[in-house]
Amino acid sequence: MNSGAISDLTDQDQNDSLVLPANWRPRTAGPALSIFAVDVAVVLIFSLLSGFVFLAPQSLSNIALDGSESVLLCIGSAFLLGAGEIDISIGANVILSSVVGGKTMAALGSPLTASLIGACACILCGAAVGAFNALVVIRLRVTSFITTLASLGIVTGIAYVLTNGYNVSNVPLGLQSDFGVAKLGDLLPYPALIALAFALAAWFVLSHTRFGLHTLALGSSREAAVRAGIDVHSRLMALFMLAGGAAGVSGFIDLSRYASTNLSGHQTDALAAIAGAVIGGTNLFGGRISIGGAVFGALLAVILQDGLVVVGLAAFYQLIAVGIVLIAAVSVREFAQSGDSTVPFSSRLMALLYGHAPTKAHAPVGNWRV
Amino acid sequence: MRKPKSLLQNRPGKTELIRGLRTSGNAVCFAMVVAVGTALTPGSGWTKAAPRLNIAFVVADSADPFYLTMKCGAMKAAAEMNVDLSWQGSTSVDYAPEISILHAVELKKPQGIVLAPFSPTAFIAPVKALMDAGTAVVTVDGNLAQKVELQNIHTDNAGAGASAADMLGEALHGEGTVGVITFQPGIPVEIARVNGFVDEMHKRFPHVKVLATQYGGADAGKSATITSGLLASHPDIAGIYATDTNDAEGAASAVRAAGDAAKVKVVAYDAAPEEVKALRSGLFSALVAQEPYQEGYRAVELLAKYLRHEITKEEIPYLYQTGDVVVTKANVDSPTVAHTILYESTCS
Repeated sequence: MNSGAISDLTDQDQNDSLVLPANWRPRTAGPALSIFAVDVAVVLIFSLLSGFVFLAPQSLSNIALDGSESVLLCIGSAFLLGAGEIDISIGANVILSSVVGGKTMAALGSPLTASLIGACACILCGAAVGAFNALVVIRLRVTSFITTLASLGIVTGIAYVLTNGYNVSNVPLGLQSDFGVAKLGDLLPYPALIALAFALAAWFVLSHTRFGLHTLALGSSREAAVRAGIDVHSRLMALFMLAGGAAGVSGFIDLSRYASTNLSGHQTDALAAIAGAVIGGTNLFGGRISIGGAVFGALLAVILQDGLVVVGLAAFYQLIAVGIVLIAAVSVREFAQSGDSTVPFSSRLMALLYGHAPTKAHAPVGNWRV
Repeated sequence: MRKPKSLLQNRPGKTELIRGLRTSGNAVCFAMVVAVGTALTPGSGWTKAAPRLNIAFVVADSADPFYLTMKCGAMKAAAEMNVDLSWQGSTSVDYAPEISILHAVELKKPQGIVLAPFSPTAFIAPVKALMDAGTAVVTVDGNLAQKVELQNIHTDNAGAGASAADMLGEALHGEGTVGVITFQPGIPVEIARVNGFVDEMHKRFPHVKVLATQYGGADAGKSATITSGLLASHPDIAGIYATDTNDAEGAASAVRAAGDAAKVKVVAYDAAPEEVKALRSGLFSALVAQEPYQEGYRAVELLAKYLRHEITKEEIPYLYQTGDVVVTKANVDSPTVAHTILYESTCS
């Protein structure tokens, strides 16, 4: 009937007994477009207010560079949120990964191999923290909210112990000058290209692979996913390691941009990542992911931060302005789309805190169609 | 919805077009007159007066009275030297947003930038790029690991820590236990303040026992809890040195709550209004005050002189250290201290 990936999958795999409407698609395009429009509108407003300084190529590549770490974390969070889990330790993970990577690089010799091995060390450390989170969630059956809240403290403490409180700063300077602050063709920063590649890969995985489908199933109804035969444990492990790996890459970019770790920073990274994902259309309680939305949601925060400085708004007013724009952006998105699930907020909140999938007794099947 | 017959259904007629042209023609003439008038008035760039300079001041933690006082000094210098000063700062102590702000400020192409770097390494590359591109950069309060900027102005933090150690060591008559509470790991100025204190204590008062550094996170509640813990576990503790405002207030409140205000002397860094009030009430024994007003003033003054070619690069020393003043109840009301040292939340 249609050439979509979903019917191909259900034909191919006899073991997957998920039954879906034939024209089912994961909801991805709608929210991303709305947030993209909001981004463009905000950029234009700032451009007009700043005498078009904000539209200069230097400015746009600043936005891309500043947003690269945020985009990675938002995508990792989006996957986890879509599966009905949450990761509050993602900021601490970035710190620890950058510490491990930085110390690895400082201990090795030649800059190029040190950088490459350091990058691997960052990603492995990030994935390891993700695996730890997953193990606690799966084996000890602690809800991911509490697990990652605890690992936030544990990971931060480990980072401080490893560094004794001093930032690691003897990172090969070539890493910063040739990668961290360098641009392809004087326009596209390399870290932004990495974030872009990650986003494209994530989009592909979400919309064209079984893994993406199962992720959404986990978040939509955990019980139904279990009964359909999805291996929840291995999926959760993979998802937490994915988010952890994204944090690891973000830690590497952090190292290469500043030639230093940032022990006292990244305090609000986790909240910003979840916010970016949710602004972009990912459902906070699971079942819907928007990669494009996560990307543009992450960029919205960066555009606001850079734009308010360029137009010269005082720092205290910037905080107010960001909050107002956030409300405006999400309300635009909500109006632009059809209604969401009708599960009451209180039972969703209880479900998130106590660790079971929200009851979807009231959700109509039609919700799944774009 | 019915499609309109023609897109030009509502096009303006000839009369409207001519009226529109006349109005826009008038507007253009008016704008030209205003522009030429502005250009020719004194103070604009076209006249022979000292050209108005465009300098940006970038800090982090901009709500701290220390930086507000620095802003007062900078604005005074800007008014005196005919400088357009644009002040931008983030509200946290994280250096990453400050770097983003620096990049955003660069877009407006200021002629000079004053920067309070919150990392000795992360700012090296951007500052070097700015200096190479011809924008003069002066750093204040922090310092860079590589000497890439025009001048660095900061308090001798280690020396100020040593002053605090001298003050506390003498008050304890060289014997006793002292605790140290600082902000967070990884902040270079805090590390300098602590190390200056500890080194001087070990050198001049070797019998004074210095406990392991505690991190209060600039959270008065947290540092109060830490101080209560120290008072309980070390009954012989006789002094506490806190390297920033909030941690000092938390420590002082815990000391008072434990009823040990007479026994435990608290020495704090910085002279914010709340700290001065606490000093007057006897909660603090002494404050080690920096001179942020001077730092801000001198930075803008130097940049203005350099940009107007009144002083050459060779004549500018790399480091200019502002001093520290130990403020006690004895000298807090003296004219010099009261008017130039104490920090203010609004400029007088």
